Amino acid sequence: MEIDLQGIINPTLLTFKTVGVSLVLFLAVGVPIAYLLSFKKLRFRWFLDTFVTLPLIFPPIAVGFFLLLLLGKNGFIGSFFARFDISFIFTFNGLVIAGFVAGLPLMVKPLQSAIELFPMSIKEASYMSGKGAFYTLVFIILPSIKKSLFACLIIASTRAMGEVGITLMLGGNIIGKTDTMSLAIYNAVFDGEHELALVLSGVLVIISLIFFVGLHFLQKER
Amino acid sequence: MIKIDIQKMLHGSNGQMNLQVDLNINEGDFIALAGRSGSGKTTLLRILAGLENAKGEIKVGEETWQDKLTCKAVQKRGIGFVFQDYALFPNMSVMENLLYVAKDRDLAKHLLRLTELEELQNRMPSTLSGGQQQRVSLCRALMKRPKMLLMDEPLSALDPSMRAKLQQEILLLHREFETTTIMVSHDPSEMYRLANRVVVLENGKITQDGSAKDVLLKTSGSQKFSFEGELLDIKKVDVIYIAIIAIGQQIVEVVVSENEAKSLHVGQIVRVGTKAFAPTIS
Repeated sequence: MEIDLQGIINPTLLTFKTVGVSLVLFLAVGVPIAYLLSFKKLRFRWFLDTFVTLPLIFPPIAVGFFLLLLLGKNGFIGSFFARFDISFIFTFNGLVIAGFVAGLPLMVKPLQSAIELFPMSIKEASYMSGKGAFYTLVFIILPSIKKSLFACLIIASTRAMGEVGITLMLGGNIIGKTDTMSLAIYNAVFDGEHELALVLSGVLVIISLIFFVGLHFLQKER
Repeated sequence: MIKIDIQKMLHGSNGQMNLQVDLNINEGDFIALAGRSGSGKTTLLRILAGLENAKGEIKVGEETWQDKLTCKAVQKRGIGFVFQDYALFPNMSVMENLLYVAKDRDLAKHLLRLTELEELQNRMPSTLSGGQQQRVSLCRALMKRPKMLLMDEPLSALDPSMRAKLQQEILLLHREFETTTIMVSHDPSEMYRLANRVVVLENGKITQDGSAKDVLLKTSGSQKFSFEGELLDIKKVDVIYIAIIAIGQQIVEVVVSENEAKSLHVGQIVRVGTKAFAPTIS
């Protein structure tokens, strides 16, 4: 049986794109959330903490369903974005949201504890050097814990890459449009194309191994 | 003139304590802040630095750092702070640590030359010894040419010979930069060598305040010398009583009368003094 090359390349590229955008979001949104959560006295900390951690313990399909309700055209958030012609359901945006929500707790929680463990006196020394909290975070704290930061990014990205449940609900598994690699494997098996499923799984294994090796070296150097 | 009049409730290991300090300091003074741990010394330094809040006023010359209405941000107070654990920025070299505070390469080089660290300017903090790290920390604290230099037991983690060397450097820098320096210390010789005024805190209140000699010398009356120590044991030998006392790292025996022996109890902190006329030093 002949394997359709497009059937491999399209899902792979789509997955790379999704993970790439999620990666930027992890840095842009995950890092500030981890920093905020490191303040024990923050108001509404419990709310933020719950919001971030929930996808870790809640079934992905259920999370996907709630997001569908929220982000749908008539949903609380979706109706707002619909005015600007931005939609999340059955689009690439939905895939990114799914990967991001699934990976966020794995990005935020370990990074939060790394920031909390960073010595108070070094932060204070920076403040007394005339520098503000944000400057200290960017130029002292994050560079000092960069290995933890990279490790968090790798773990969160692998989670985003393998995401199925939320992706299925938000993306809709439209072939050629929102079928990421994991979903493409499911589709292939469903259609009886076992060779295609095998090749796609093989590609996922190789990518995961690359991530794993990266993680291993980060831990070894520590 | 620096005026400090602050108070703060502290919840320490000995229960609640009211830190209440009213202190006027002349500019250029070197103050040693002494007292048992938990007496509020570090908290006082942190309040001065703006790292902790308290009620009251702090005025430095014409500037108000804190009063009823305002509290100057820690970033805006002209202070240098030296921590006991050095607190160097681990991701930066020695030189970068200094330049982080102020982009003044000439001053940084000058400070490193004074503290004999020029050769190490490109090293990372984790590769330096404790004494070297604390010197970098001292240099970094002076990069802003601070009005006030605050040091929280800067030398207590170092060995005696390194301490003596750093004491000299601290004094040198204090004079050259004309800072008002406040240093928390437990070491009488250090206080005597460096400070022109010693302030003792006990349970949050100032109990002694004077020159190093007045505060630190424990003799009274016609005593020529006196030492504080812990009474370990009282033994009866024939008709006399011998008290065994630990002073510093040494054990000494002192003959006491029967009445004295009865009034003393083991574990008590006692003072051993003598009027001996000509003690010898060898």
